[in-house]
Amino acid sequence: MFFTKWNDSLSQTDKDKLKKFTDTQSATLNTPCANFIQTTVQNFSTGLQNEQALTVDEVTQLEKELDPIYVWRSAHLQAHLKDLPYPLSRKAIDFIQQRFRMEEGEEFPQFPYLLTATVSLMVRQWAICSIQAYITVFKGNDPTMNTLIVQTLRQPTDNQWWSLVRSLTQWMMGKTKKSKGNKNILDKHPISHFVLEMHNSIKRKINLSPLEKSHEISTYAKKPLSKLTTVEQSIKHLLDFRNALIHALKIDDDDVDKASIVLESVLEATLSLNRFHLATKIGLDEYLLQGLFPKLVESPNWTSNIEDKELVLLMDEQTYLCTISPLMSLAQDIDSLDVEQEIFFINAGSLNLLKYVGFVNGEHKDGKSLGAYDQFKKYIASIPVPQGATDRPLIDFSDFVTDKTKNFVGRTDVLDEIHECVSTRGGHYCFLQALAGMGKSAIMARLLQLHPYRTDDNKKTDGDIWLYHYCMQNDGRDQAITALRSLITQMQFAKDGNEGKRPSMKVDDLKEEFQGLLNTSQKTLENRGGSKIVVVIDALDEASFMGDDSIPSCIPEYIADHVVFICSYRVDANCTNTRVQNHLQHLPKEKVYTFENAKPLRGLDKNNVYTFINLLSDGEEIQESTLEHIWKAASQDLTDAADPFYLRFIADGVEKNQYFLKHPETIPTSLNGAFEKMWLSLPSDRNFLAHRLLVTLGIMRDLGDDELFAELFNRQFPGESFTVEDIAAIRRPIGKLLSYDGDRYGLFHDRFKYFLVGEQPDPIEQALQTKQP
Amino acid sequence: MSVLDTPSTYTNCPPQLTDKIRELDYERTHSGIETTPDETSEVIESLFEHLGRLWMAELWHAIETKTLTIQDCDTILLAIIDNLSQPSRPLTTGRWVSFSRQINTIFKEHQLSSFVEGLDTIDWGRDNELIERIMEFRNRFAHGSFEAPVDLINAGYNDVNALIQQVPGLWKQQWHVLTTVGWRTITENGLQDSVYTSESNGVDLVIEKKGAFMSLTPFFTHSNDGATIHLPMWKPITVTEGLQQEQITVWHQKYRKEYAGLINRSDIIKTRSCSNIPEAVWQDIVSPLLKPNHQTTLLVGHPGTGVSDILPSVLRHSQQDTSETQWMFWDVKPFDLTQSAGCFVRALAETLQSGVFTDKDGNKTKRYKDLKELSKQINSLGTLLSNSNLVIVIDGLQYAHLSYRFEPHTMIDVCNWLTELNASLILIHHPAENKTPIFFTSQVNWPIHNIIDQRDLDNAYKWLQVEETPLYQNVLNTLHDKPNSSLFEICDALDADDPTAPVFEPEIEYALWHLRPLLSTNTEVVQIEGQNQLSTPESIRTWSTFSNEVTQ
Repeated sequence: MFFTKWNDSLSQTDKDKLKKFTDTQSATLNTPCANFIQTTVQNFSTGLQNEQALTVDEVTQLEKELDPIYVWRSAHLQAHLKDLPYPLSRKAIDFIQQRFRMEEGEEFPQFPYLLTATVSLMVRQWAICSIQAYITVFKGNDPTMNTLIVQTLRQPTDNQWWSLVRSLTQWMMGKTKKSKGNKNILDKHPISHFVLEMHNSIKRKINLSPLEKSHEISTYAKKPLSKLTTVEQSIKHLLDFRNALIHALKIDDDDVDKASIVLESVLEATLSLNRFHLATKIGLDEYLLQGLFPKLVESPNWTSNIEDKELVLLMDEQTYLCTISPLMSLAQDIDSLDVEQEIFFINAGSLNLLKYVGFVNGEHKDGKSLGAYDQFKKYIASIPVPQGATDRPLIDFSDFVTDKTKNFVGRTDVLDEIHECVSTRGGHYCFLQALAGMGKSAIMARLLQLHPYRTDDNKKTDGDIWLYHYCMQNDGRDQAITALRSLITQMQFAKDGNEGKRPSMKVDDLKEEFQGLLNTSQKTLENRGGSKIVVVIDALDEASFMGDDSIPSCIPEYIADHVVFICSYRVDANCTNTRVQNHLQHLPKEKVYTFENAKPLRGLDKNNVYTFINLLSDGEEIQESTLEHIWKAASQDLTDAADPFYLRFIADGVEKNQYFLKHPETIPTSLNGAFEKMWLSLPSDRNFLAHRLLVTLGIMRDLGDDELFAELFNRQFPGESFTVEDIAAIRRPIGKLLSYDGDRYGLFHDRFKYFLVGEQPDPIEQALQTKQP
Repeated sequence: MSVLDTPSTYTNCPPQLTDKIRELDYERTHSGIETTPDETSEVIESLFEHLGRLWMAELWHAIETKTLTIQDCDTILLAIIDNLSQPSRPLTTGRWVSFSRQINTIFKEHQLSSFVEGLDTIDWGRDNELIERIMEFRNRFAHGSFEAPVDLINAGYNDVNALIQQVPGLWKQQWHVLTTVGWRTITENGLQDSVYTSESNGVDLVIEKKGAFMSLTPFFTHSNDGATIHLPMWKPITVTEGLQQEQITVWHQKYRKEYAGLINRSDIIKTRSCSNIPEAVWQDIVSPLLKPNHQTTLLVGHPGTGVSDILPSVLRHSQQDTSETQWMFWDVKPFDLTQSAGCFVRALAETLQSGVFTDKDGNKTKRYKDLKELSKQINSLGTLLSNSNLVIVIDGLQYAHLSYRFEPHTMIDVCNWLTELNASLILIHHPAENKTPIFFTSQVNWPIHNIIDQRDLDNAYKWLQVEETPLYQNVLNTLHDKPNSSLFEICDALDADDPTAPVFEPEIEYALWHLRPLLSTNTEVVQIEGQNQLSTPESIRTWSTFSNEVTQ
């Protein structure tokens, strides 16, 4: 607000002076310019305070906004954003303009998403140029870098793009240093200018003024803002902001403001990259992709090098550096390039799945319809990757375990029985059965906390060997191959203290290897001073039952006496889960044992509930009436036992200030009541689209994403037009009801699913039943 | 004729707008069209500001000529005064458009024409493509002189031209200014003698239409010699004196006083028609609450059943009360000052004679910038409250969920803080689902279910927008015909009424909860047949109108 007024207040001479200062793309504020700003700001501020009645708040605001570094940054950005490569330039300009207009009092509810889109675009554009620099110069001759690139391209997140930028730049710069004194391969190529500038930009110091002074902490990042000193750290910070926002964590205006200042500083510190632009040729027309719009250029000297509709990287508007197709691509059926045309960025790049996303209008396209598939096939063949190099068999469950064991109480009877079984039931398969939401995964997660398979500093543990797998639909964790490979790798780690060679990708080999490893490890156990190998597998019911080999059916049929399996699965009120139990038929009956305290698992007792509430209250005294109220509500549907899911739900509500332990009248009297309240508080825009989305997820077996729903609703409502961005806008406010796997999502719990759509027949189970004789 | 291309026409526009158009014209001719996105944006900004200010002058004029009353437009009046009296925060172009849109709507509703020729012909609706395109152009090119393709700049230019052409009053109607040597007419060739001679206190700038005149004060001002026209912002301290319109000035003074906490609506509450509360109900329900108990009682009753008679009845009782009990009565009305949390807290401070809202110089502080500040101020009342015999009775809590104007907090927030401070509170509320939880110590349900106060029921109908929403009417009629229906039964009945428009259950569920003040609910246990052929008992909610008279 005050910046614009200050700018307007400058005389023509001062405006010319400022222009001279800002004409340079150097990111540093030199002393003459700092003095100039200080003087003009001082004059402006005095004038304003003399002539008008500014409130105390406004004076503070004025001082904050007219901090010389901040003023310099704003003026400098205004002068140079138009030189950024398109389409980053367009997003960055939109971002800066909305910032100004917000300071003038306008409201932009979507501003935080614009901010993250700008960051997203920035890291993609940089990553793609860095990949192409590497391929152009080094011809894809380093297997480690190739693996990194192929892994990232498969389903890239912003974090992965960013990590790739850093790795590639560091690697290429390393190559330069190694051949010091000797003109190396990179130096010979003009693209070395880009690599060097990218490297310098990443390491460049930033100035977060006026934030820096206050050492403030944001709610979305662990590090205080004052600790951010370089572009590298700042981008990471912005990506944390993005994740918090997309996953609907609590972010307030103050956080958005801080993230905006960080992004402004990053934009300014990287202005030196402005000399690198994109360009293309369509038919006879040549375009420079710079500033707000693609510009037609007359007879440039770089066009002879490029194919029709190929996107290329240029330096100083004239020197051809490299191609950036097909990682960025134009639709191949266009005959001109204007402000409406999308520039597509690769969004999932493998031979099975090639998808692109545009940032101008948020359009999504698959590679085949875009006309980039054949080119991509050729391209990916030029980055050879060693076999099996792109996978990571060991699954890290630490976040899952931390989440599931938050405020863990009670269950000593079950845990005691599990430990007893480990001691006395060697060679057995022990099962924990539970109804939905009764806390089986919390118990299984608790086991990992009590018996980790590796120490905090990533060393192997002593004693018994505990191996874990938690079945879920994320990241293929419902697949037997994934589970077996992770378990085998854990076993290898327990044996040797490292993950060892990567296990096979064939399920038959894996089954054999796993069984062999388990049954022949007495020596390893002895060396560790242990007596048992305990294999913990949670939620067998979440396993995929497609194909012949499911996780339950891959549990070895014969295990030695030093091996115990502890598995859990969901049952109905009759302790039945036909599908899981059918897949466990191969286990010898005499070796199968169901925990006495978990067939099915009971609810928590009154003491557990009281302990839980006291944990939640953080030491504050809770009235007996509140405890009674919660106990009554939690035990409504169970006989003299509390529903752990209800308690978890209350805990979430208390953390989010929806429920107040001091005021029992604010706490829902039942889980359904709480669900109903949530359901009724959802936004009803666009003909109850949020409700429709949730109900559809309720009846879907798999996860969904914005693209899928856009297509679905466009079919359901022919008169309407839904873009992926429309769906995202509807989805964001209901984020707390969803669980995410990357950009895909499902309902946060089956209990909510039941509330929405009741018990749904499982189409796969139905199909399997029909197949059975 | 194109206004922007014709200097002899555009130089008759108001001087500041003329300057911007002249600059644009010059740059297009001398520097090339491709360099002019920022000059085009500046014309847009100036044009929208002029149109906005002219609309405000129209509003003042309509009140002056009594074609509109203050009550017809008090919300927008407050918004104008608030926005123009922040000199350090100039209005954005978007706000000028928004003001034009709102005032235009009021004029349309009252079938009034604008004094400025063509002003009322602009469609300010949100779907108007012309305005949207112009705004989009301006937003893209403001705050930086970015280059753009010529065809895009020309498209923007033509749009601005089309808009300006729609308001011939801008260049055809003459402006007259009062200078030290009397009234003068502003022309492209400087000031000329004027036909206008009237003297009206404070008015020194007018626009003419066929011998009639409309004051442009206080939205446009001029230099002493009349040669320069200013587009002023107002100083907050002297704003009331500067409004230049007696009715508005008087009304605004009263508003400021009340907002500062010097508000007493007891007389209005007393005049509310009030049926007698049955003696038994008074004794059982109301009477036990009439002593300070440092607790919060939530009294819940359906509209029209006499529940809103409690407030005037207790007020009358208080006037004969000889005990040491101190009383405060508050009747929350929609879109009224009584919805303001800030106003309530100030009034409470006045009642307690706390002095917490007085600054070090003894002046009353005016605004609450944020929730933290307000909660701090309320907490500072804590000791006074717990030592006092004050009983606070608040009616109309169903209107208290919305924050008043731009306040960051609601009356519900304040009630919750007061509960935490152990104040003696009686809260009167219709049955409704609340997004913000209400803290209370005990809840009492109003025992009367027949309608004894038709006016109160009518108000609820209006607030719930029953008359203008066919779906709400259909739901009420369905429940009238078939009480104790479950959600799915209601959906089936509505589907049967109109098979061509299938209902979406959540929409009906929303409608039912919206109409909750008019409905009662029950729980029935039914057997649900599961997949395994076993039937399990399940509770379902059924709905009815709380009284048969509701739909009459």
